[in-house]
Amino acid sequence: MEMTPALFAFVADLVYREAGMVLRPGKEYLVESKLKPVAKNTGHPTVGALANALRTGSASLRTQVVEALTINETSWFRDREPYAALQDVILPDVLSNSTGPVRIWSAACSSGQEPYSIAITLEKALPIGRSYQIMGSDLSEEMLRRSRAGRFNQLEINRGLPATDLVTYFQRAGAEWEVIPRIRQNLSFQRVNLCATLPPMQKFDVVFLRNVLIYFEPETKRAVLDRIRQVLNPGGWLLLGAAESTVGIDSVFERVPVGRTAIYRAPARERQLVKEVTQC
Amino acid sequence: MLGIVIDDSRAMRKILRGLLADLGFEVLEAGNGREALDLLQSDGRVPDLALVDWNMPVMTGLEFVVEARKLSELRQMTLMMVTTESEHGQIVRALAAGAHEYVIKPFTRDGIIDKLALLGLVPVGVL
Amino acid sequence: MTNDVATTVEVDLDMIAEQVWSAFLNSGEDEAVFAAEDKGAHMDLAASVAMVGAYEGHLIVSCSHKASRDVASVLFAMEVDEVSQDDIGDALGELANVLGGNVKSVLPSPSQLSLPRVSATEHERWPGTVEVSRTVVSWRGEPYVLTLLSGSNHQEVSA
Repeated sequence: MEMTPALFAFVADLVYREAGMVLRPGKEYLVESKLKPVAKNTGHPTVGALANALRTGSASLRTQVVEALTINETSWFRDREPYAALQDVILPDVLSNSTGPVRIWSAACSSGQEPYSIAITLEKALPIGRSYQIMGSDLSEEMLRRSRAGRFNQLEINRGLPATDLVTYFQRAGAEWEVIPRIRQNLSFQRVNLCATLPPMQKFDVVFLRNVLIYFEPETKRAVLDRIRQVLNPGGWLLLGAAESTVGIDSVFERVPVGRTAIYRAPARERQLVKEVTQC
Repeated sequence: MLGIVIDDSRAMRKILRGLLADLGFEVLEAGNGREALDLLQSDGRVPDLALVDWNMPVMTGLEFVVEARKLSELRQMTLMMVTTESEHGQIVRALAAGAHEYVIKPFTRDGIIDKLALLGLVPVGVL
Repeated sequence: MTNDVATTVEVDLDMIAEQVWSAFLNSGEDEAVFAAEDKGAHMDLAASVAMVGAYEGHLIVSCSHKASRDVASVLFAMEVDEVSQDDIGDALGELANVLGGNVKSVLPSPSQLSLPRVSATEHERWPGTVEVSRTVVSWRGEPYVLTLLSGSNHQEVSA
């Protein structure tokens, strides 16, 4: 069965409703390539047949499709500059303004490369006596399971993880590599839908929200940034993807240029919380 | 940029040569460590990058790394192992011998590019 | 000599094969199937690497002539009818080397990996060895049998 414009529109609508992600016409090839394994695993001869089955299919089938389309392949220390900013600008600031554990949220952490890259950065940069806590969140239970396991195959390990970090912070686990327990004990993972009211959580010093906003419409972006700000400590930091910015969406975050990139800072003193009006 | 691919498999050399050529490298090839040392001596130029397999006849990649590190004229050459040897201890050995980076076979094009970005040999964010 | 350690080691040949195929061989429509049915088909060629040291054994990948041309054609980026016998030996040998190195990494260490050897299966004998693990990869309609043997017998070609 062909992937007709009507079927594509149906899939796009589903992904928008369930994950707030916009899939514009022209991305048919992406849908085709990402859904092919799902079609195979669920016994549908073509992606078109899978899309058609979604109309009447089970919630589990819909979840599998949404997950397959929202998962991003990730490298270690992706783009590098955010990690340099974390080490050179953010950490000195956070360390001088607090005494407790440094708390970082890696939102939409996918298979875990981002939160573990953050952890490795902290392992190297934190002074003795300072601890850290990292929370990774994702929409996908499958991604959370993989992140919690902290296991990566050779192909994933090759994606930009320095060899010295590999031998220092990983151990072999069969045909895969596993993050050492000393690091894993500082990480926790939970399912968070950024497009809904956030579950109660202790405030963070830093939030990594990289390459997530690009998928959202402007109102959704605004709502997500607003929720993030509410869980940031006063003067807390936000890191976005290379193609993303708060500019024109949220005037409360201060843009701080660092190297060839920019990071964002919440006001030093908390503003009065604005009642949340936008849902997506 | 000049690169040298040292691997006893012609197929692997062809794959790595193509990848480096796409990134703008001129590429030399050698089938083992000895051949590479001889070629570098006769060529006279110092490559920016050497991609080095481990298990090869005549002179292994590890032996090549040890020899290359002894030669002051090759000091500027970045050494990246590209090998199926993947025990923790083997990677430590190669790094201790002077290899700068390590890619485990099998690799994807993206994996090699990520590592080259790490070494500052290609810009971050190349597709 | 028996190798008691080897028989207790779990080696996920499928996971290793999957990574090797996805990185080097899969392209577009021709995705490989792992843990495929073992139909016991006749294999023409065997590429093997030996492991010597804490683990003693062999990793062998065997396949048909047609399958070997497919591997060479993809690795060398050439048409199937352009590949030479030399190309086939080189490509199959590298396939065994990459599979063998990854298999070695999950076995007792330290062990050394030999250079790969490719020959006709009719000339291959592996006396004194025990099969530890075996799986079949099906790719482009051809089976590739991956076998991990344990045993310190250093016997070579018995043509």
